Amino acid sequence: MIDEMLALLLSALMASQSAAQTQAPGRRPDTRTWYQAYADGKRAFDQKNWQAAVDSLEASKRAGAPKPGRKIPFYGDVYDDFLPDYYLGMAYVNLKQYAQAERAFAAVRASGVIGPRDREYAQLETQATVARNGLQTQEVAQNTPAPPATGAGAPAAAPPTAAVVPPAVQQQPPANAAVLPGAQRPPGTTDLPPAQVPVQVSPRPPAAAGNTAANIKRPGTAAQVPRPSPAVADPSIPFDPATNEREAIRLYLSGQYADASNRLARAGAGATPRELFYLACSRTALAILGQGGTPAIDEAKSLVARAGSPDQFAADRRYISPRVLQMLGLNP
Amino acid sequence: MRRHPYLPQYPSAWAVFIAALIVVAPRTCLAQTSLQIPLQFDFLNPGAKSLAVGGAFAGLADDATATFANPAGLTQLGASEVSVEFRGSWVTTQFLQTGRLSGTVTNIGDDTIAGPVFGDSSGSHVGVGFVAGVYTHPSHRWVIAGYRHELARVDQRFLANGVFQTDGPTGVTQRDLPQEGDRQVSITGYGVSGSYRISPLLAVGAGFAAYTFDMNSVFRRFDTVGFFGPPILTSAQAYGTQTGDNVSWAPTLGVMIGRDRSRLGVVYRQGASFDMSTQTGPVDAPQVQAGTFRVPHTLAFGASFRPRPLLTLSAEVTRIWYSRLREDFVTAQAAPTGRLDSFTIDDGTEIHGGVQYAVPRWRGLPRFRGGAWFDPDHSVHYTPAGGNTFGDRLFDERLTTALSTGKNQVHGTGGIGLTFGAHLEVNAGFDLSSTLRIFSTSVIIR
Repeated sequence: MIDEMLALLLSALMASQSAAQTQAPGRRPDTRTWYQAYADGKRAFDQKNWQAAVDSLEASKRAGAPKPGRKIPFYGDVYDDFLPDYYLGMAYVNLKQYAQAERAFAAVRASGVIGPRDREYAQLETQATVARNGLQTQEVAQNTPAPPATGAGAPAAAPPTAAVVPPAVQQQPPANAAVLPGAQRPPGTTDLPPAQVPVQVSPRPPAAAGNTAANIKRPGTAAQVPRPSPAVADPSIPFDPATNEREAIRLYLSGQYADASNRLARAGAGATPRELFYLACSRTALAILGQGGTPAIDEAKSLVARAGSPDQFAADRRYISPRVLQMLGLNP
Repeated sequence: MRRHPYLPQYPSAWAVFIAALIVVAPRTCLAQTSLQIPLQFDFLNPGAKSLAVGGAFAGLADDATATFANPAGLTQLGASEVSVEFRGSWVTTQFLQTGRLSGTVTNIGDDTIAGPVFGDSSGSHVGVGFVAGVYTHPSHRWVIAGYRHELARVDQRFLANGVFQTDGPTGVTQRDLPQEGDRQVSITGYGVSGSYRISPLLAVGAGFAAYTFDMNSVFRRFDTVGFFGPPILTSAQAYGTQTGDNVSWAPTLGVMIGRDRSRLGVVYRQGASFDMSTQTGPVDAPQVQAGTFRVPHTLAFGASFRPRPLLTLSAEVTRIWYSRLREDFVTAQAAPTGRLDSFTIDDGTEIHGGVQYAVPRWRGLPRFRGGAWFDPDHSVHYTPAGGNTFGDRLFDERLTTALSTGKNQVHGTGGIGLTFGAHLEVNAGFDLSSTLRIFSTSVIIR
């Protein structure tokens, strides 16, 4: 009898599991509690499944969640930080949905739950900058007339990359900077080498207009969140001196400090002052995130010293977390 | 039998006394062996948290112990977890030990105290009271759990010297034969349960448990040194046992309505039934009677409310059909007396209330808990049946007195919960009443 009962139970469990796997998520009403949806969202975020993270985090907010805060009662005796907008913002950044990301980050600031002394602050500042700049870049792309089609099947929209490079960087392109792949050239411009192509940045339109621009979804091009890795040069990364600095800065501003550090370290002795500066910032950011200690920061400071006068990076410093600058001995 | 100054002085009365004693004594003294010692089972929810909040847990059911307390609550859990509880309990039961219930004290032998004297039979048990593992499906729609739970532990030992009585109308003096008892009952549940969330506000749960039952109770009555002397523990006059060793299944059903701030929980737990046998009678001619030991059914209505984020209130009303214990378990022992209807156990309605306050800014995120619950008298009671013989009258007097100690109680409870890191939680709780002390510690790993 016991064997029969166990067999019946196992059959029921397997059938239930199978049904859960084959069931499309949208077909059934979401019965999760807010904290369950939030936990799912954080898990998806950690797995870099950005869209799933957004779906769950938004569901959490809809499911009667309390105000964001620290040590919020979840269930039973589980108390945890509840920061849905923080993770939402970062997930939206990685989905290139900058308007939503900005809204989420604004909500985080309005709640006051993340302050300068919190561990999430540096990441919040960095990601908020990325969102702001990404939004501006998307607006540039939207406001610039599309080039004439070169033939059937030509893409009607800009390719989805590099929208996170801040406008300040674009306005003062280094000698070896490449054109923003996501930006469209004004009609009539010649096919100049990338470093000579000007990128126009229009003033930021009202939020409503920004929303339109931000609704561009570019699946499959999501940037990577920081992941633990040593801040040393990785020879497996393709190295192109012409694009290295630009790609590294994009990685840095996307929060991929380890990748940025790896790429910048590849420049070696031939690194530009700007590369040295961002290498220092990357390693400091990694140290803040627990991947490196005082030696890493000391080394970063020496990199800044090698880069020369900090004044030359005045525009870049606008997009660097105040905490990173502070640790590098630079006035935020 | 030697004539005694306190025995009837008239030949006719003496003859009546002798005749009555011969006829009545074997019947009553053998039948009353174990029933004369009050028995009270307590079926408490597992878990230190549940204990600390006064057992008001049907409406909370927010940790692994919900697998027993209210399976429907399992879908609240945000992650799989394992829970282990260590529980120690100390139970004191009063029994009629000696003294004189009626008539005048002779100051001979053991007959030196006017009025009943009650002794305390103390039993204790310490061990792993509850172990559970809970698996939450990633969809959070359903949860399954398995557990082991020590549902009941009774461990009583006692030695009564026997009371003295004198029947008013006839002047017959009688002594209850000394008796020794050792009562051990153990019920352990091994169960699985599951919960399914039907809608955001409604979850149902069910469980099925295999309960192992082990009862081994032995009662002996002894001769005495003369009429008033001490018991001769090597000379058993009567011998009774109650034994059982088998497994039975019983289901549990639960419903949970609401979420977060306010929840209602309802749970019905069917009591398992076990085969048992009762042996009574003289040592050389025992009578064996088969029967069933029935664990009471339970129906609980609970509610929890969080008026502030860190403050949680809970309440529960629990109906327990203790009267199920009477049939067979009590009646088999009472059968030889012919007074089955005089022995009763009332069903009880418990009322539980608890409160928890969390202090997140403190290290360990302490949760302070307190509670109380009303525990209605659910011991065996005796209602005098009346009778024309002095034996009937003395039997009524003795059993009425012996089973008079059961009473309603209020338990005070308290405890604390601490969290260490993201995966470890430790809870401690206590439950104190005039006859029961329970201390519990549970560890939850997520």
